[in-house]
Amino acid sequence: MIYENLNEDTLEWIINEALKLGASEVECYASYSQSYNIDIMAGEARQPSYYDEGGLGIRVIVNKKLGFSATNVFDKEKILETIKKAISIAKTSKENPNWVKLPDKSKYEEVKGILDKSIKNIQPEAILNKAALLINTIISTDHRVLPVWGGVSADYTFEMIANSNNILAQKEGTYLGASIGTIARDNGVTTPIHMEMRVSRSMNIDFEELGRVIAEKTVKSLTMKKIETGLYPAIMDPEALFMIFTATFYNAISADYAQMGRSPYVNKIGEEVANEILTVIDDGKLDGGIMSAPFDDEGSPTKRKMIIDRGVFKGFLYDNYRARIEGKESTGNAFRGFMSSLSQPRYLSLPSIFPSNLIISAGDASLDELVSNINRGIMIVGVQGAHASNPETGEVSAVATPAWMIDGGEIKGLVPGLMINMNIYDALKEVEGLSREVKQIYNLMSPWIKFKGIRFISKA
Amino acid sequence: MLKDAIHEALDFAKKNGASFIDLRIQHSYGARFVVRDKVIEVARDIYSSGVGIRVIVDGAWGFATTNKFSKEDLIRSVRNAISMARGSSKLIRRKVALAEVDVVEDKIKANVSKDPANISPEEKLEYTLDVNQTIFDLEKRVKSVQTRYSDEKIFQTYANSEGTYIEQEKIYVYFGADAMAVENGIKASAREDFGSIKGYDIIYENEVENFSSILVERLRKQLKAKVAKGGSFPAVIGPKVIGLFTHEAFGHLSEADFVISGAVTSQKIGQKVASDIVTIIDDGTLPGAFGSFVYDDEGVGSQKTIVVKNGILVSLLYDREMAKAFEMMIKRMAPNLLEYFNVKPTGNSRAESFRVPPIIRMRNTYIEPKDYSVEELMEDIKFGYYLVAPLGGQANLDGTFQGGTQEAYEIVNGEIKEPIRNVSFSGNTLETLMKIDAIGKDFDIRSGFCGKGQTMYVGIGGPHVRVKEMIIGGGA
Repeated sequence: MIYENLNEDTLEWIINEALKLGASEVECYASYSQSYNIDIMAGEARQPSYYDEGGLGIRVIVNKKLGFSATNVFDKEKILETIKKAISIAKTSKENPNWVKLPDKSKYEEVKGILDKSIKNIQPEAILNKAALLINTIISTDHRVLPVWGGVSADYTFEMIANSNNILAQKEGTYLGASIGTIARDNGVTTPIHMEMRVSRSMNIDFEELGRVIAEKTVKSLTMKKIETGLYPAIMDPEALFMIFTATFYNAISADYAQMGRSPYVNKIGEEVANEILTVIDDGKLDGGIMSAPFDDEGSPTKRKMIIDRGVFKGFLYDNYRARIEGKESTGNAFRGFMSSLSQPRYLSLPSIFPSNLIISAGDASLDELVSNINRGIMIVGVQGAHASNPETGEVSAVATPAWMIDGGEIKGLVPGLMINMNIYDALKEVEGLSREVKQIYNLMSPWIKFKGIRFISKA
Repeated sequence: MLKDAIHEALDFAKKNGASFIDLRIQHSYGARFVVRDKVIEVARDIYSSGVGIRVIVDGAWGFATTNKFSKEDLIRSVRNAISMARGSSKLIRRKVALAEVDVVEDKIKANVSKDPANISPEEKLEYTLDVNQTIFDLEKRVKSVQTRYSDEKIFQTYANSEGTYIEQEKIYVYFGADAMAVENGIKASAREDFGSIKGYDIIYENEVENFSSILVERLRKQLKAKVAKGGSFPAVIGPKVIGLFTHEAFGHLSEADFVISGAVTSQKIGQKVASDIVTIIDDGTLPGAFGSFVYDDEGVGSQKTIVVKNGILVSLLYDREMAKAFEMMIKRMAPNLLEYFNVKPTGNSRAESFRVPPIIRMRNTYIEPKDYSVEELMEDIKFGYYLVAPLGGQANLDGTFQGGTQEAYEIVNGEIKEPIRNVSFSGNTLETLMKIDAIGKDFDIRSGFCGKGQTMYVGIGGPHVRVKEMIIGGGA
């Protein structure tokens, strides 16, 4: 027993009680998480914290009316109250004519590399020491660099799902994460923040490598350059792409966006939506993938799906609800949380569609080769404000920061305050190159991408 | 009963080497309804509770949470927090010290006329459905509408080893909508929202027709809007957009944890950061505003904090730790600054929930209104932009900022002309604050959510403001 009454008997009891109380269908999702987290602030690892919590969320359907309630108190009385609340709020609701039914029972395949016992049983000192190693590596690599922001976390999550279609299953997983933001200062120049992150399901993050990479990257921005407003070839770091994609492409490939007519890919299945060198896969079963599991957060088996195959759009991501509307099978993309967000524990949330492990296939050229082929252009290292981009039209609203000038095939220094003027969906058609190096930012695994031309507005 | 358990936990911590301990016990209730294209997709009624415990041991913080309240569980969590702090104390150089504050015993009820808990779910759902339907009815080109209602009620008990014991109730009501329209292959989208700590009355104040037409009007303008010219232009910035700018571009740079981490303002303590007419305030006492409360999550009374006075940076936003750190630093390096630069706690320590420790957060942040009418602000502009409704923004510690808009217009010869779509704006915060040359006499404050790892209720707004030049970007 991992946590109080969090077991199969409790879940079966909940399903039966809810059916007795008048639900036509019931689902119970329960989760227990524990997390060690260290904040990095102003050059030090501070405020270590320990968190653990178990809770359960109950979804009921009463004649096509949906209700949801959740609690983190596990005594029978409180759980009964929660079931009653779910049923009562469903009854006050109106019929959802699109509702078909909850997921059916399926067979699940094992997914490798998602549980590392050394993370599950980790001691706080181990995490503190990793954070200290990261900070010390950064400062010893270059004393002009200051780690200003970041953290190291080690999480363990145990989840159970049961529904009135006889699904009863459990999964567990571990996560190790490190993120770091740095600035460099020299001769009165302060760089903007540079970011770098690593995530893994096992204890295999190389904190020294991370420290060296971020320090070397940050000092490159101590030289300032100016560039005029105009259209330039540009290489985008996966870090920047992630920020733009979560505000745009992640929505565009979701079936809910498609069914609401908001996605640019509506009626585009089988059509060319990107350059033929671009292939995008969503793989919920990837070995050691950060979002990998045998089944998603409503009990549908996870899958590997082609999203864009050599430029051609292949299909959307579905949860059970959106899939059944089209008479399709769920693609296993129903998630109640992203990794292990403490601000909103998974049991408090209903599942919604999100990419699992989104993989953009790598190219043949090295990043150095991509850079050396640009006479005058920009390397977009990071972006700021991309969340204000428009997911329906693809219009990106963001500043490229940090952004480096590429001149004569070499990186020359930081261009401050460059605004990006691009449409990301159109730009995917003008991808000219992909690096063979790949970086993972949360659930996106991507090469550096070279775009034919992006319009930048400069204050110069 | 609970009070006894709390006292035992406090005693246990002191006996086991903690120089300070505080506990935040929370019970949180929330309702949420989401309607997508006339269909109810989410009807949610949730509850959770727990306690967050902070200790200081050997000059280092430790934090632990639990969602159980028995004496044994509290003691177990105190032990966890102490062990985290011990580990940390061996690694850190800057030891934690807290600024002194008054010991407070108080009990605060939420000041609402209508508690959303006493409103039936049917009524909340009906409003959410009605707005959704009305937006479709008002404009045939609308293809998709999402409407969202949510409320949250939090009971919090705060206790610390200095004797402070505060019970505080907070109630939030929020409503938001977004819609998309299509015409001749052109897509336009718009959103609008409101929120209040005054209770459910905010829903009655925003009648279905009125609220829906604001959004529909914005959509219509977006559909016929043209693309902005990119470049540097004068701009008149409306309350919602200047609020976003004040919060994102400047407010974060005044948070003491960011300042100590090397924000550009760390070189500007007590110095000029804006033109003489600019006074910037972070006010936790503004009646009814989304970011107002009585005590922060360290038991410090909320207050109206003047951050910039007539262009001079006169205070940062502090929690108890940062107030002490800056007091010691400034005493050592530039003691004469203390004559006008505040280093006392400002009541900005806030946590999203018991699950996370509090950090420095803004409340209601705005530029103080002055004396211009909106027409006067525009009359001298030959060509520029009028920014009305924002889409979001972000700033960097080096003082660059970026924001997007969903409603903006050209200003030609002092008059508001054509609507412009997806105008974004950017620049250097301090340079831009220096270029503010006129401030309106109007004032409006709106609800907002701020993300700094944790999501927080804040108020953003201000008067209309004129900036001599700003970098404007257009659609692709």
